[in-house]
Amino acid sequence: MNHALMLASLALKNLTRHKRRTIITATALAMGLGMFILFDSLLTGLENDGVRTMIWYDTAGLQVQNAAYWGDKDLMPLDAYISNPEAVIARLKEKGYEATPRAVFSGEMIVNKDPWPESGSVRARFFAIDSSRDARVFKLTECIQQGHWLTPGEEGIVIGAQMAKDLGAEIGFPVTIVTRTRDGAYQTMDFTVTGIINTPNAAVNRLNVYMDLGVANDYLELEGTVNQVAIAFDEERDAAGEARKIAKDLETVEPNLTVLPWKITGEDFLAFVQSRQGLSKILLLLVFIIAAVGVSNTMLLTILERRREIGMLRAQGMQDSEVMICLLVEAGLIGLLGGILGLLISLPFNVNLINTGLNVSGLMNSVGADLPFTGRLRGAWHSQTMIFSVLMGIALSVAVSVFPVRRSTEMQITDCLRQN
Amino acid sequence: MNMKSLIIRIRNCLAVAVFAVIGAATAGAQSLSADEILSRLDKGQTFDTMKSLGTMSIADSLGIRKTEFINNARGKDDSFMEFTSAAEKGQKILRNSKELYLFFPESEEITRLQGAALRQNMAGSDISYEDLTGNRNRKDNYTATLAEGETIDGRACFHILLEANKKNIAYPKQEIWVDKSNYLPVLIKNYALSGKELKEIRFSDVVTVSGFPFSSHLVVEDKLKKGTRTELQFKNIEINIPIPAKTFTLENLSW
Amino acid sequence: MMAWRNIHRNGHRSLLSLTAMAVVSAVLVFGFSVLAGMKAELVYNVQTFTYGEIKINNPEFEKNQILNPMHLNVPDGEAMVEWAEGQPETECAVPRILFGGLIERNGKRFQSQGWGVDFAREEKYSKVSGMLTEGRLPANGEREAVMGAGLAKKLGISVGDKFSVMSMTKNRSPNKITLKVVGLLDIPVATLSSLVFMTSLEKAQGFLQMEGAVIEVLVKAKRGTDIAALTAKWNGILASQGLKAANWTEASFVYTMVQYMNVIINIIGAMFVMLGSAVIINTTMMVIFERRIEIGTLGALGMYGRELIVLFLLEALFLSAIGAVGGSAVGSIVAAIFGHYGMDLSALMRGINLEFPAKLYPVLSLQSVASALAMTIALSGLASLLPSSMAARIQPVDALRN
Repeated sequence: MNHALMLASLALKNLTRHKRRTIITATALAMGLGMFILFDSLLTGLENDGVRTMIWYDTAGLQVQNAAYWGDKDLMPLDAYISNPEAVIARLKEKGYEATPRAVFSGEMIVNKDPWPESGSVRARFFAIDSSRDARVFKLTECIQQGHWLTPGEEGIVIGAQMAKDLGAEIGFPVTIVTRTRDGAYQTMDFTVTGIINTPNAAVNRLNVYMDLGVANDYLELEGTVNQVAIAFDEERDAAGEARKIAKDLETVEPNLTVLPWKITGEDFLAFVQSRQGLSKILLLLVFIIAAVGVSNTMLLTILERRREIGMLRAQGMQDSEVMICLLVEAGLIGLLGGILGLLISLPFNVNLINTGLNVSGLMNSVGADLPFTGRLRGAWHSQTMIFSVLMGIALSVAVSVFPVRRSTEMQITDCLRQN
Repeated sequence: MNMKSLIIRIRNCLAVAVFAVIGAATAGAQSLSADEILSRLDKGQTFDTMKSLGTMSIADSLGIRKTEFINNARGKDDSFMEFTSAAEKGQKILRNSKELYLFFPESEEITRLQGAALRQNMAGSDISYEDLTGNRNRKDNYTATLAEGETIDGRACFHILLEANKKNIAYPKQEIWVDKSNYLPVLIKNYALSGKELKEIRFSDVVTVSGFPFSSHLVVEDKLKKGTRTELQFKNIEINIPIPAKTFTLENLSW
Repeated sequence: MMAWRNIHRNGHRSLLSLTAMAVVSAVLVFGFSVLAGMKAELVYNVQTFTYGEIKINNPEFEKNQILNPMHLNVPDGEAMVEWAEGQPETECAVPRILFGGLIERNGKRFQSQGWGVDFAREEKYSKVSGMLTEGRLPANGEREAVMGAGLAKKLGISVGDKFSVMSMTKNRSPNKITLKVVGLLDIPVATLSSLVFMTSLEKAQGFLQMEGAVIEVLVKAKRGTDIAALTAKWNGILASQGLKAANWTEASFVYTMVQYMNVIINIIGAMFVMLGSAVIINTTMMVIFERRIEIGTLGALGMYGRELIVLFLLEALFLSAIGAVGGSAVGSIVAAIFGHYGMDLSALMRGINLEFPAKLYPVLSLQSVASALAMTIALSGLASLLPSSMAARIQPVDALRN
């Protein structure tokens, strides 16, 4: 033990003696690893971006539904309902989740020439939402482009920018919505366009129409029931597991409810997101190679420079094995230092990337002002990668040092000393 | 009092009596309740069997399209439709009290429509599958009140207001004008819960077949989407002729 | 001359520096090729599957696309394709009918998109038979279809199974058809693979009551054609028929997505460059810093200041040149090989659904090689200046003492 300590302290002393060399090496390492972390952050962020676009504007992290709903989801049936959504939401709140009720239904929206440019009708997805609570789960209110968001009791609708463009909508234009009440009776609603939103989600912009839940409750005779309770949930956490937990919990509140994670409610969208993963891995690999090169050759240089020193140590009677251990520990320490430095250097950039992101909309020459996404590339906090890079730093430094150190110890001491 | 004035007196009494009887009879007819009128309406549209050739013309912003079909009906609920026009050739629809089955010649299985799927429109027209089923149960589904009689298209009509007495009835409000002379519908207006008019159906061209009056021409107009209408014209109408029972079976759909 | 000898004397260091330059150049060349390959694939996919280089269709169609408006079509598809093929600038053209289809299977409903295509023409346009992973293409006019692998998986369908799909005809009436799956397709666009099935144009036209019409005609032009000008010219001719021609850069949504991907790819490229630069600079600087004794010796021999800097500069340039050339060569060869055979990414994607093809073809270009070379050499040369100028200021004695 003593022996080991002595070697370790020797290693440490060596490092502090050659401060400049240590720092330069560690810095080289740091830069390589830091870059790797940032790159991974960007790629992960891109992946998450796609998922977030879906979760923040369309499906939410988790959804509570009546068990009979999902099989008929294309019909958006109001009669597969949650009897007591307020009780469900209250229980969720107790457990620490933010939730909001939504009644979703299909129907037709009819517009007539004058003031609209043309007469016509579109089939749309209608979302009756709770104006005060919806913002706790979705980010739609941040995307208002014209007009204003829904207010309780207002007989108005908010539509997506693409639909508005296709129909030629202006704030204040009247529409007639034709649909059915929860029990199946025909109902019409004569509302006006009060707002237009432009979200990063193209489907939302094209197909969705939003209205106040209170108003819909009266017109559609919902009697306080809804067919969806959306729960805010971070996409990085295990949604499926959480869904099961919540479902179990809600059994005592109301029977026959299911809880679906975003991977299921968004499955049509996910094919696109997955397609990018394979390519990301290749790029990550390439970046890693460059980083590895940076690490390796720095270490190699260092070791080679110190052949004379190694010779001297051996001449002074140190065992070859001891020399090796000492040097490898040094290498390891430099690796650790470089790894941590890399983490620290990348931190401010990473945080900025995660929070603010890179604004790339200026780099693009967009035809038509409506971008179906934010125009910002965001990073993501990927602790797995960060730990990996520090460990890699240590591993690489040590691995790379093994060969030249061994060679130095195998050489004749006199050859070592003769170096330079 | 001499003989002459007695006879005059008796004649007057008889006249009054006759008028009274006639008056009572007509008054009795006037006091038919809305429900009774509806019953006669429903009965007048229900036959043991009925067969006809139909032409459906659908007009919208893109022009006019025609389809032709053979319709077999039995009683209140069963019907079997087969399209004979070129574009829809071989398509069949089988209907009973609860369900609707579609057959498309290029598909190897029968499509069953129920529940919300019945809300779709048939063959691109203004008539939904739902409209085809369960239309004969007005008495059960609605509370009827009689309003002032009106003349529609030159025909004296009863005017009945219907309010659905269940929440799941497709048309919460209806107005029907029934021809006083033959209890055929002349005009039907369908309304949504909000009171907005959804559809209007006009009946005309009454023919008599085997002693039964029958409207051979219908026009359905969508009142929300301007400019679309569907016209139905029936000919070669046969009533209470024998139709084999197997016509109204699933097997008949798929061969 | 002296530089050359120095290089030889510092064998190990030189080798190290050289290797670093080589690896960086190789990775840069290969990396740029991969990125270029990604960009090319993006454009190819758009032009082959989504938009064509030029698309001829009804001007009202896109606006109403959600409603599946079969009536907003190109009447007489065959005539239009023949016209397009007859144009001198056309490389190949295909007619297509795209329709929304509802498939019911195992009690569940699935949205899908049906494509009625001319398989003979598609051979040239999209190399459709090359996408087959199993089975064969449908025979003309038969109730047969090929299905995207993703869709087949979603539905639980294998080759030989039948499925029924319901859609809306041109006359806006419903129709339903049962098709037999005779093959599976590996469509390079992930969303399409989980959405699309293809049948013969003839069958689709009958099913949808199209009477000879198609929804669009996609055209790929010969290399070097001015697409914008061609589109304008064709528009002039087609407008009288109530149709329009548009090239993919005008389709704002599609083009914007492609640009978005390009930006990401460029950023990735920039990161490569930054990283590579860091390595180059670092290596060069380290090598020189470590040679203080040598610098001292040289100083004692009378060489310092300007001459010293030039000496090291030359060394750096030599080394980086050799390394860069060698590395670029290696990178180019690897890129070329993969560019021909394709990189099979499936090994990297264990655990991810293989619903989309996993082959990437890097594109080697003179530009990538030249940039990699120039960057490596220039940076290395520049990087040598700082430490050597610092070194030049050191008194020989100080250096020797160390």
